[in-house]
Amino acid sequence: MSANKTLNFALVPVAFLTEEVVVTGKNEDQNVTSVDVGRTDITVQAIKKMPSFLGEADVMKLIELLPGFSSGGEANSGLYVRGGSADQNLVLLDEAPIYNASHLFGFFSIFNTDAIRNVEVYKSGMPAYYGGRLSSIIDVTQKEGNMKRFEFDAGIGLLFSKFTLQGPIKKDKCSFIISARRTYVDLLIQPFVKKQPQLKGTRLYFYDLNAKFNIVINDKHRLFFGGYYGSDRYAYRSTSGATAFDFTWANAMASIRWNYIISPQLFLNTLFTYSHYDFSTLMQMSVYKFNLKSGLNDYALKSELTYLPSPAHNLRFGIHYIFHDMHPNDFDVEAGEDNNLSLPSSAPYYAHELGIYANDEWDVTKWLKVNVGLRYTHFEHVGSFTRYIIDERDMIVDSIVYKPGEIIKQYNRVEPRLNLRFLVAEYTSIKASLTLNYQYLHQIPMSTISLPVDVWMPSTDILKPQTCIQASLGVYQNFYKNMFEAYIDGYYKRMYNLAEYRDGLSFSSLKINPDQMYTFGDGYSAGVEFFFKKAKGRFTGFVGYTLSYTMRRFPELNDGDPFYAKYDRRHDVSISLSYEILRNKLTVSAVWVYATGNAMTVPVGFYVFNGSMVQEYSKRNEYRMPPYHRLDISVDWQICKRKHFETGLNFAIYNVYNRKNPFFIFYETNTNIDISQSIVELETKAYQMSVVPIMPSITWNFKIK
Amino acid sequence: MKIPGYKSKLVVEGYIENGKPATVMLSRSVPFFDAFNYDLVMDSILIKDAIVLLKSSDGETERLSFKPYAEAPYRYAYVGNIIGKENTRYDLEIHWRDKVYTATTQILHTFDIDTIGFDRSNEIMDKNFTTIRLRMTDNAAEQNYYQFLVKLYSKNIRDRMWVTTVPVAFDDATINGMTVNVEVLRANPSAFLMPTMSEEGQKEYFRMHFRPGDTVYVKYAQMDYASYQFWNTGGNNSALGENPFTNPSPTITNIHGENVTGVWCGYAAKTVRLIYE
Repeated sequence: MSANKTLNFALVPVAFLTEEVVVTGKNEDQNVTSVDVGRTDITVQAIKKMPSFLGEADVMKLIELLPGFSSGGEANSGLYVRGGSADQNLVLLDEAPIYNASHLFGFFSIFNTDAIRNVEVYKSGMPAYYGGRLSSIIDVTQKEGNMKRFEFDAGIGLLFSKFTLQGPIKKDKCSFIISARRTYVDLLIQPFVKKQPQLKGTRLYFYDLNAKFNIVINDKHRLFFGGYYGSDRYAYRSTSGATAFDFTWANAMASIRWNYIISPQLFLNTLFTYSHYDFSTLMQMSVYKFNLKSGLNDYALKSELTYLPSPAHNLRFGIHYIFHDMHPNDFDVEAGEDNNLSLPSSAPYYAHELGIYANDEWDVTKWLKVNVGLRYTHFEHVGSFTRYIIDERDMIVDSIVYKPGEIIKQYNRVEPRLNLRFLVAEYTSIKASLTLNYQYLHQIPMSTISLPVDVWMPSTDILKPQTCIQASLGVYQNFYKNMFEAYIDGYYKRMYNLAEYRDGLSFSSLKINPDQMYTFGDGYSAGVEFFFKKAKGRFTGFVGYTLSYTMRRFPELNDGDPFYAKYDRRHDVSISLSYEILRNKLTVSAVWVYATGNAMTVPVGFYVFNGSMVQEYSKRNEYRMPPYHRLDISVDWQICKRKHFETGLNFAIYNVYNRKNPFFIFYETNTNIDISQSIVELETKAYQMSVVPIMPSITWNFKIK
Repeated sequence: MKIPGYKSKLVVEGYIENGKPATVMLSRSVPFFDAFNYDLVMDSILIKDAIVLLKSSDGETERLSFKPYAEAPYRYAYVGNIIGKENTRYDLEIHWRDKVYTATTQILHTFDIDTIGFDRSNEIMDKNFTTIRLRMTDNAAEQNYYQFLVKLYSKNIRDRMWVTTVPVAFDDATINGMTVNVEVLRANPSAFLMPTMSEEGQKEYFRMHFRPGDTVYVKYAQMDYASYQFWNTGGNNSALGENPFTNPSPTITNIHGENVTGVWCGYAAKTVRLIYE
């Protein structure tokens, strides 16, 4: 060999009887040796080991079990990471951002497990090649399709079915994969709907479709085309048609990626991505109809060089540009033939976002490894746009009109990132990270739960970029030759320029610019996370516990006093266990979760006004809902596995002991009042509404290849 | 649920209207889960020992008298003699338990509507679900804050208090200078009246719509901004505060003083009577 060469060898199959060979995609001691603080790699096998909901194991459900990650509970699509809000998570599918990664109000994510190749998750210590969000990165890569043979996988469940078809278009040169899912609750209930005519107009479903094409041009060049489309619809229409509501939302993504191996030390990765998100909320009563639509489009171009000058350095340089085209509020109002009522749709928002970064993962010495990076970001809000000038009553008194492309406001920021790993012994390390992040997009929730109808906004002259400084320090320890992994990690996060809706807004506030409805404040979150995992053997699993505090402070809310964030979780426990009763044939799994109840604002008093009882409220988020806990179990039975056909059954029970976890608290007052008869009797009680009872499911899976 | 350390508020519900004297109802708030009975109402919730003073921008002054008043929830109120006039300011001063509470409101000018009547072209086409349709033209030169109220008299219902519609109050930001139809519904009847109804009356007591045989009084009024702020925020809390998915926002009161809520509201109002035959 006189020069670098690429040689291909074809292997001839010969059978040998050997010991079991276990292939893993990562080093066994990665928990200790990796410099990535706060990073977790998730495999499809780990996802499929978990108990499923309605027969579908979900990657986001596994992520929610990890220390530092919390869901808001059932029917809440938000993910809350180390005290951050739901909009502070960057969810990527083949490097394209996804703005609402949930179906069915958070019961499922948009990620079809059968289409996933791998998932990388960061809760801290984000390297400089990631940016745009404060709290987490969830980076999902789709499979590329089997280059050698066709495969067809399918799962048929009681309420939910899916399939995946993959194979070569040209063997070893070009492959494809297509996956699709749909619920069919609305189809199943049709026989019952016929007997209940008032349910006839009910629609309840979601579906999604993943596709990817992979082309090997030659040894140095490769092309990938990926796409995704998914939609949810929840609708009701009365038999007369006079009353209706209709919630619809959809995500779409497309990506084209070119990989170029310039040399064995130098790689170029260039991609174009398109992301789309929209939702529509329709409410109708009689002649009155109110329809709110919102949506956005992202067009992005990214190019990154990876340079490996020596085994001690892994350098990445890149540039990432995104054009944001955002439509926060489009109203359509009807009030009968005689009324010419209208609500002004808010003007679209246009913005350019640019990130230029350099990052090095550097083995300084045998015991010290550093991941250091710098990210420069530039953000511009540009016209066309009309900025309203408002008085203290939110009445518009003047306006400024910006022409297309005219710069209204720009921000330039520098984001340093530093991760350190000190290897103090073969199976022990201390890791630390310090990062500064800026976020130029905001999702201000209209409600206390994260809904698909929460609107996305860019930074403007009023809505400044969110900022987060996060420090973490932890000890990482493996035991018994990496059979067990453990860590204790403490963190502190300080966040600035957080936004909430102002108090006292009225219907007429919809006429002003959306960002004029917000008020601003800051917050902090601090916590300690404990994690213990058995990684190998027939019995595997992990236990995670987080102790944390998350506070917010807004001068114009809560009389300026600090208050707990809605999803402040004092205690968060996750236990996930799996046991292979018969190797590769029968596996039983269980998950138990516990979380301190959500913070809430409650009525503390009441008074009579205008003949009605009026509630008087506590300070913001001063009280707690009852805690959330739940046990799920599943049994996975591989019935048969042949050369061209495999089949199995999955039995699962969600919420085994039928815990009535609180979705919300409401109050009912029984009154018996007759002043003239000197009768006044009044009794108020608090009640809890729960959403999901015990739910068994059975799914038949099969594969043809 | 336990709510420790609750501090009761003074609640002021005061109105003055063109052609009518001032009426002020004073009470106290109570802890949310406490038992509520007649003796508690009469002995401590209903405030009977306050001094309530009124002064107009015309220079008239008076002390309101505590007396029986049919339109008050507890059937007692502080009532004056000075008759309210358009385009006049009225200052209220309340002395109670060594504390002083003040408020100011105005009776603006009244306005005319174009038409009002029962809407019989409703798509639902059911006589028992008729609404009242009011057509009006907003004055583009002013910032207006409106409220519509109804009283229903029927075979089984006799509203003692005015009942607000939906929304409770609204401004003209979205209808400035426009001619609009407003649908008037009987949205928030008082539970205080329900036991006085017959059993049949109780079954239909909370109906929002109108039906043949009804006599309906409709009051259409405008108020000043400070009064509107209370109705807008307090009304939102009544409607949305019970919504478990929203954060209730503070009610903005125009009463000044320590630990107090409520409104001193001046109405420029007219009333019409409609009979559904």
